[in-house]
Order: sequence, then structure tokens, then C-alpha cells
Amino acid sequence: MNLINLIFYTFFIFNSPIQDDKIKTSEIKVFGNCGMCKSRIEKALDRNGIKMATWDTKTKMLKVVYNSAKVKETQIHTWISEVGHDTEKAKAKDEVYAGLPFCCLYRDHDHSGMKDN
Amino acid sequence: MKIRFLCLFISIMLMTTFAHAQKIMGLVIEKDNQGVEQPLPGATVIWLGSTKGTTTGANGVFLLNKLEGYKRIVVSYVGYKADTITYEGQSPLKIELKPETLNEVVVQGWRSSAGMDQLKPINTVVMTEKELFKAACCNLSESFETNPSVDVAFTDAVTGTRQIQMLGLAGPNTMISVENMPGVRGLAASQGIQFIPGTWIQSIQVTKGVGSVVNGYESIAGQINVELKKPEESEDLYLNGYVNESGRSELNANITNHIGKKLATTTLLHASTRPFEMDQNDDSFLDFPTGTQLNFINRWVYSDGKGLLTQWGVKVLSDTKFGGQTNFDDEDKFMTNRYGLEIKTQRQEVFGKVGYQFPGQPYKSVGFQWNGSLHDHESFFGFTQHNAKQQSAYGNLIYQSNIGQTNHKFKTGISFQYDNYDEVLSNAQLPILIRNNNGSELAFNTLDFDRTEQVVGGFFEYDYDNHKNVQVIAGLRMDYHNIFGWLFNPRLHTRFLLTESTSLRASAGKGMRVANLFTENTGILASARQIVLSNFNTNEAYGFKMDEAWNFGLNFSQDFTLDYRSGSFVLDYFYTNFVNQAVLDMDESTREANFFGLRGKSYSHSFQAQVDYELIRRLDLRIAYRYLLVEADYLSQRLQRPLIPQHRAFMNVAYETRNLWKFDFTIQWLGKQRIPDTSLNESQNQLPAYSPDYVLMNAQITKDLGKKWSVYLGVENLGNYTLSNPIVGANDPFNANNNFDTSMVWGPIFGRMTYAGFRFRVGEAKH
Repeated sequence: MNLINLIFYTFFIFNSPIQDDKIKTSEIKVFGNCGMCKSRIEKALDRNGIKMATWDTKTKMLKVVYNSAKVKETQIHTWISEVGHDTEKAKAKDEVYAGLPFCCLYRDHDHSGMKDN
Repeated sequence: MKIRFLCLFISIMLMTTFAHAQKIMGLVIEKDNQGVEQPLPGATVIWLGSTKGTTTGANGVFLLNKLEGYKRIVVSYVGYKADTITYEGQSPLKIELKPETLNEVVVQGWRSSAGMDQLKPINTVVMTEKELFKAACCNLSESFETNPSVDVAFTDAVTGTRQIQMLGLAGPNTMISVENMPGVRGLAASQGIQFIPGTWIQSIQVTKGVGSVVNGYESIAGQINVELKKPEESEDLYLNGYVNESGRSELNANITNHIGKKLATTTLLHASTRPFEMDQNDDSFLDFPTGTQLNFINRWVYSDGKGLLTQWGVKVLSDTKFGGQTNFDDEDKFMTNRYGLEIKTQRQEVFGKVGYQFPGQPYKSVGFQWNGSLHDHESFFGFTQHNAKQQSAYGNLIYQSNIGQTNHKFKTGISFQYDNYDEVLSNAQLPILIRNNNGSELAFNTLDFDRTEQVVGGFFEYDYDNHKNVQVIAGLRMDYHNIFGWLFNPRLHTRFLLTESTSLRASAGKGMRVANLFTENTGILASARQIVLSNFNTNEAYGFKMDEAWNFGLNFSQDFTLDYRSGSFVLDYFYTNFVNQAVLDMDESTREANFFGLRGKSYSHSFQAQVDYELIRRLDLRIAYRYLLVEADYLSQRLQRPLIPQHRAFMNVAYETRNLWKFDFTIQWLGKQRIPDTSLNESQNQLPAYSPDYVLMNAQITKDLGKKWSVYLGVENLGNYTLSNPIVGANDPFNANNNFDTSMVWGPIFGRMTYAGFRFRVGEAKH
């Protein structure tokens, strides 16, 4: 019985978010297609001040949790566009876009019907 | 200040946009027979009437400089109809080219072979290449360092042979398959995991408990499936070199070629050597044998682009190990001046798979996999000689489809396995004893264990998935074995999603196998123990029935997010209960190695808890604890299985920097292990009843240099913990009263070992 209680409380602790005024969460639409885009976008946001960045391949929404004292949201848009992905506030350069792998060419085709690994 | 920045930012944006207007971007594609767009790399794009132009990149994209006065662009590619378009400022452009002949078959991409996919309710841990790189050395036997479910232990102190253990049960109770075909079994069971070089491995799937009936009846404690590098997804060239401070060196090369769009081939090469005699503990015996291994695979894949996929290949292996006392040479063979040993393995194998996916019905497929092999094992240990040959053939036909809706799937098929063994064990000095059930005793200096096994069987596996929270896989197989008769093996796997992040799995099933007594226990061949066989329950094979065991498992796993980083918590419990087993008893007498047919109970309880968590960004932590209770009724009493730690704790820390440095550190604590009774030995050769507990540590640093190169440097056994006297009676191995024994190994034989290596690759891996 003790073990069950322990497990229960452990989950309770794990599932309760930590509160902090500076920590903000933004949902940003980022254009892209596939799993390769996902890792590129998330890697671009692997920076100090960003606690978490997860991009959803299906909804194209990026959920980003960041410390607003260190990072501004406009900066996040720039970082994403710098690796070749458009957002509604920042557009990637053609040169960068042209270097993306085929499956990520979101301006030319969407990913439906393609096999994603 | 901020406004100024913004102005600057906007003006830079405008300038760059303006500059780009001088270039036109476009994409050239084709449509495959499924109507899916595919890029056309290398297509020519030129302004009509000029020589100015460009070609498309690997992704089909081109950037074309504008040319004053020109408006029409021609796009062409060999084998396709050229297209001319008029440029009127639109960007990006998208051009689809069509093949010149309408019947041209366009490749639809490589598909994995039919009927060989993984099953979800079966709790399988996939170890990818990234995970395998954490321990860069060297072959399958050394690949499980970061996996707390699989233990690897030395079988003895002289041959350097490692054996895996799952649930506290010896290696061969775990079925090791290569691409879901019988891989490491039969005579290969002891040395075989050292014959799969790490750089040949694409991924490893580790399943605890019984596996799927589709792969046969042999998995009892678990199943380890190894996927090798495949032509359709490998780099063009992959080189790996490794050397450690003892001189152990390895060289691996993987070469892949695509011949047209339908045919591709990969060649995997391995050469390794241990050139120098090493005796760190000064017991006059080599810590590990010297020797060389040459190993080769050439494999092909053909896809017709319409659902048919064919694979075939050959494997050739040659491995030699020399060990024993230092300075032993051929003149000392079968003499008492020096103790020597040799293990020579020659193996040839052919294998293949044919799969057909029905068009428009992705759930329906038929596949056939087959292999044939010759395995030749020659060895001697002092006066003991063990020579064996195995000829094997295997075939498995699998059909899979749906029943009505997609909730109900099934796999069914038939399989056969043929094994012909030609095995001789002899010892001119110390005969092998047969203790018959009526009390009579026979002694043989040479014994033949020749046998032919032919097994034909059928299986059916039903898979129910409500696509919500319940999945059930129920499998059944019936086989007919020419020696052991009908074999009946049911297996059940279930999974319940309690919440989105909580799942509970339960499994139950039976597994069977024929134990190859001497290849699986090489340690007793390198000892002064007399081999005794007793308590027979059949007249066939070694005189024992097939090992047969029920396995029950429970697995609870919880995913969690803590401070925005994810982790998981897994608890599992497995119970294995043997109905029949050929047991090795080392306790009945220190002078004997007793094999007998199980009369009472033999079981294993395994409980494991594991937490994985990303402690800080790019720093992964894995902590595990395991408790084992493995016991059997030996000839005179119930005892714990020897040389297995009851408690084991494990921690792995992996940190990756943004600029591609990788740091790995593994530490494990192994609790005390029971050592077989040695109280009858002379006092200097007596061992304590239990080993002390000890700590093992490994560390590695890897640095990626660009896309092609990576280098690594590591240390094994960082704490330099070794057994001071791993061999009992090493001072006089031929003195019968000296109880020479190399099998009492419960820890590392060699100390701290530094190694370094590199990887070089050309071309991208596609997976």
C-alpha cells in the first residue's frame, strides 16, 4: 500500500507546474512539413533562456516556454527564420530556404501523402 | 534605443529582400506512381536562347540569376520531357517534369520488408545508433553498457568470451535474432555475439520476456533483435577505426552503392586483432586470448517500386583465438609443460527475404525469409578437445492482413528449421562420466553428440487494437520436432493505456529450446573439473529434454514532465519458471561439472525500476535498480544460481554540448554474488562463499568534426577494479589435485583500459 501511495504522490509532484512570473509560454505558427523540420526548429531554439520548445508536425504550432527577462518573442521569430522556416512575423531568406531538404520545402508542397520517418 | 534597433532591423530586412529579387527560386519535381511529389536533383535550368543557367540541388531547388531581356526558362532532365515556362515575376516557381515514356516506373521509395514490423504491446526498448555510440567498442557483446536490462558477464577467465544475461538467466535463454531471423544460436551461442561488429548495427530491439510467435519458440528470458546496416538507408561510405592500449585494434568499412533506382548493395567489412600477450595479474595466464577476426557481409536489395521487395546476401567469418599460459606454442599442445587453448570458428551463411505489399492495401502483405549456414567450431583447452560442426537451414513464410476493420489484424504462416550437428568432446586424461539412472557409471574419453533436428511448424498471431486504450496480441504456435515431438507454445501480450502518459503491460507465454551444453559453458572445458552427465530424461541429444519455461511479466510505465523537461519511470517484474531444464551443477563437487535433467524447481524473479530524465538541457540521466532471485534445485539442495549479483544499481549520464561534444559516464554497482562451493579445495584454492560487491565505471568523450568525421576517446573500467586471482589453481593447471578452474569469474579480469577511435562517413543515412 505504501508503494502505491508513493507512486501516487510522485506523479502529483511531477505533474504540477512550477510557477514563475518571468517564465512565459507562447504559441507560434511555424511553417514546415516533417520530422526533419521539427528537429531543425527545435534545435534552433536550444539556447539559454529557452526552457522548452516543441513543434507539432501536424498543427504547425510551436509551443515555446522562455524566460522573458532573457529572451524576447521577436528574437524567437528571428532564430526560426534564420534556419529557413517562416513564421507570421519573420520570413526566411531564399538562400537559406533553397538549402532545406526536399521534405521541408513548405512553400512548394505540404507534407500530405509523403512518408515521414 | 529599441526603436533604432527596429529601424535597423527593418532596413536590413528590406535590403536583403531587394538583393534577393535578382535571383529566381524554383523547385523541379516529378510525381511517382502514387501521385506523391519527388524532387528531381541535377535537372538543368537555363534561360532559353542563352547559355546562362544552373542545376537543381539534391532537394530539387534551384536559384537562377535574372538575365536582362530573357523571359523563358527551359527545364530539362535526361529521360524526361523538357518544359519551357515564361517568367513573369512569380516566385517561387514549381515545375513538374513527366517521363518521356509513359510506362516508366518511378521508384516509390524503399519500403521495409513485409511482415517484419515491431509490435507495440510487446514491451520493446529500441537502441538506436546514437545510443550505441555511447560505448564505442566494439561488438554486440559490448553494446549493452547503457541498457540496465541486459547484463554482460565473462564466461571464464581465459577465452575472453562474454555472455549476455537477461532476468538473471544465461545468454542462450535470450533469443538473439538478426533482422528477425535466427541469428546467434546453436554452436554460435557462445562466441556469436562477438561476431557482430558494432558499426554494422543499425539498431537493436530489446524485449524482456517471451517475444512474438512469428519469430519462433526459442525466446524464454527475452529477445534481442539486431538490425544491420541496409543498402536502402545507409551512408555511401562509413569507416571506423579503434585501438586500445593493449593493442586491440579494429577496422570496419561499410560501403553502399545504388545501381539505378531499383537495386542497391551494401558491403560490410570487419578486421580485428589482439596481437599482444597481456598478463596484468601475473598469474602466468593471458588475460584474454590473442587472435584475429575477419568478417564480411555483402547484401543486396531490389525494389520494383510496385510493392515487391527482395533482399539477399552472404556472410563469411573466420575467427581465431589463442590463449592459456604465456609463451604457449604449438609444440606444447597436449603436453603438460604449458597450458594452452585455441578456438577456431569458420562460418558461411546465405540469407534472403522476399516481401510483397498488395497495391492499395498497405495492411496486407506476404513475406518469406530464409537462411542457410555452415558453422565449424574447433577448440582445445589443455587436454580437452571440443570440435563441432553445424549445418542449418531456415525458412519462414508470413502472411498478414486485416479481419474486417483495422482493429483486427493477424499474422499467420509456416516455418521450418533444420540443424545437423556433428559434435565430439574428448579428453585423453580425464574421461567424461555418464551416470545412468540405474546407478551404473560409464567413462568415455571421447563422446559423440551427433544429432539432426528438423522442426516444421505453423503459427497464428491475432492483434486487436481499439485505437484508444487497449491492445492485445495473442499468438500460438505448434511445431513438430523430429526428436522431441509436438511443441506447443502460446503467448499473450496486452497493453492498457490508463491515462495518456501511463501504460500497463502484461505478458505471459512459453518458450523452448535445445541447450547446447558444451558451447554454452566453455568455462568448464577450461578446468580440471570432470564432466558428469546424469539424471537423463530422454535418449536423444545430450540425454535431456528440451529446456521449457513459462514466463510472466508485468510492466508499468509513466511518462512525466518536470520543469518543462520530459522523463519516464518504468517498473517491471518478470517471473520465469522452468518445466524442463538441463542444469549445470558446480556445487555437488569441486572436482565435477554435473549436468543433469531438472527434477524439482528452477525459477527466476526479476524486479527492476528505472527512471530516465533530462536533468538539464541535453543532459540525460538514467538510473536503474534491479533485484534478482534466481534459484534451482541442484543435485542435493536448492541454491541460488552462482555468479549472479542479486542487487544491481546502474546510472548513466550523457551530456551533449551545442557544439557537438558528447560526454558519457556509466557507473554500476554489483552486489555480492554466490560462488560455488570450493571448501574441498586445498586452502590456497578456496574461495569465499560470496564475492564482495564492487563498482564499475566507464567514460567516453566524442567530438563530431563537421558532417564527416567524429573522434572518440574513452576509458573502460575507470576504477581499475579487477579480480586478483581470476583462475583457481593457476600455478599448476595440470595437477589434478590443484583444482584448476577458470569458470569462477565474478568481475573484470583486466583493469583500466584507454581506447580511441574515429568514424568517417560520406553521404547521408536515410532513415
